[in-house]
Amino acid sequence: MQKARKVLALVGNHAVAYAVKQAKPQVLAVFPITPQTTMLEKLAEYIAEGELKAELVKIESEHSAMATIFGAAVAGARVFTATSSQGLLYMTEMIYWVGGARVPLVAAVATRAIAAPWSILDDHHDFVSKRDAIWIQMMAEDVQDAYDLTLMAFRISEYPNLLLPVMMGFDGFILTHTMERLEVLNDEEVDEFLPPRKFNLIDFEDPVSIGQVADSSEYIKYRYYAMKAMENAKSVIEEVSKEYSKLVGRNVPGLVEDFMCDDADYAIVAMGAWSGDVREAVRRLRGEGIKACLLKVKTFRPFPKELIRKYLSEKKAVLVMDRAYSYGLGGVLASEVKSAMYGLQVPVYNFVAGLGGQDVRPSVIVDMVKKLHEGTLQEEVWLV
Amino acid sequence: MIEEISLFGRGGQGVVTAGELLVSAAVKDDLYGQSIPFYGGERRGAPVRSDVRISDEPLYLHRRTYNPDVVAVFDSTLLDILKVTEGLKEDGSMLINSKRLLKVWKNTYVVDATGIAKDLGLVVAGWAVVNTAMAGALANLLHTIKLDSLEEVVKETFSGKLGELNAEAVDLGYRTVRRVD
Repeated sequence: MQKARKVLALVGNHAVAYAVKQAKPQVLAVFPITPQTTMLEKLAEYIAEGELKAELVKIESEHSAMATIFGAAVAGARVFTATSSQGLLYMTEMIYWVGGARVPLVAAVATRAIAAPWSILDDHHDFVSKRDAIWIQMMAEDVQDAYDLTLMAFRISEYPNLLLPVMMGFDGFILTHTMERLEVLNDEEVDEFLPPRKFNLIDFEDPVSIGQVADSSEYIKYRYYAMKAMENAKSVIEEVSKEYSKLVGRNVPGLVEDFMCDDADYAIVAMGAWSGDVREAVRRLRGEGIKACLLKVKTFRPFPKELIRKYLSEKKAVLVMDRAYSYGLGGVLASEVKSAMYGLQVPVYNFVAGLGGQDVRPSVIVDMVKKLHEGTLQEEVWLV
Repeated sequence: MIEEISLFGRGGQGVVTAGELLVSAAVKDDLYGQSIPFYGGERRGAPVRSDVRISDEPLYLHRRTYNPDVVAVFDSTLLDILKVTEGLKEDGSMLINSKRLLKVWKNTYVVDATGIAKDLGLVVAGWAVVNTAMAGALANLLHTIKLDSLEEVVKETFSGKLGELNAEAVDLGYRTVRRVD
């Protein structure tokens, strides 16, 4: 008989650290930055107590953290790092190296606003700024989701021949420091889901150099194959999501999750922790006879444009919630959704809110959709 | 059934831990809970706040609490600085760490958490660690928290003698909290 699974109360950072411990990485390199730091502390504690046998490389910056695990992953190790905000920006050069060289590894991003002005609180600007770095990017809704996605991230990244790194985003403080109930898998179950990494990017008998110069006729080929790999990643994510859902006995969608979209007139598209508040807004709107739904984007890259188009094609209107903005254009998620909906006659509205940790109540979302229903909503609204 | 609690205190009083102890106790009893600390880069002594949400059904909300059922104030000097009763439900309860019988709401309760902590020697760097006595008092006021589960969680969180002392603080907080009429 299967051993009963543990139900725990953990803050998001500790839930991710727990998943990382179960994934048994061999090399970690993490530089502290709020709000990620307590995850690093937990991982260091696991190592000190002998619960995780990994080398935690002490590095002087996020740039070196990514460089360190880049090398270790090329050498065949399962590796992990995590950061936030300014740290992610400082890591950026190496993030592109890892993506371009197609190195399978996992990084968690505890999302946080970017200075200036200084803020340690949440928004998605850091996370979305890495959208063109050839990384799979997924984002969690709650603490359980952050735990689940961390395990799935390792599986996806190490999927045979996919060769892509995965970034697991989760909202700073709103998830990293919030304690919630979650169910964790038994260690043996994780061992089965994530057997030791067996493949290597280099053959030590016949070594090659990675990241060499490519001339203009070669460079574009690398990028063409990267484009193909990111397209392939969609079916890999779906497959791993099915596999994981079966294992845990819960539905854990990989690309998008729909909540009451079948008969809805209005769809609210959101990503991250406030998706839960949108669920509440949807319930209230339905209570008042307005058929709304939530379409949650779980994978931001590759952007699941086909699914989004499918879910939204028959709607009267779409409201996209954005915690990140492309200055001079519009909300980042809204721009992506509009691009996916090209040619459809469905109007897309954009609600920009929650920047720098601003708390957004379901009642505010309800008001937006009511205005949309009444035809008085402007195309782009900021909660200021 | 859902209960929302807002905790106000000062950095170093264990406000965030108190919220986490309540949530851990609720989860032990197969309930759902969220402890949502509010961070603004505070230092020791600065006002801090943590919100708690407990329910018998899965929780989806991630917003803060705006209309709590219970407000707990770990340091009564905060009553002059912060609007702690803002949004508190009319029939909700206010719990204050105080020796004196202060009344600031229809249902006001006091507990001498500082006295309990000092008597038990729960003092760190000159600060009385009042969070476990406050959590005990809250367990008495809330419908979702069982005293036994809270004591168990406290013993798991703080090991050995410290766990015993904190569990005693929980018990004393639970038993000595009194309504101000």
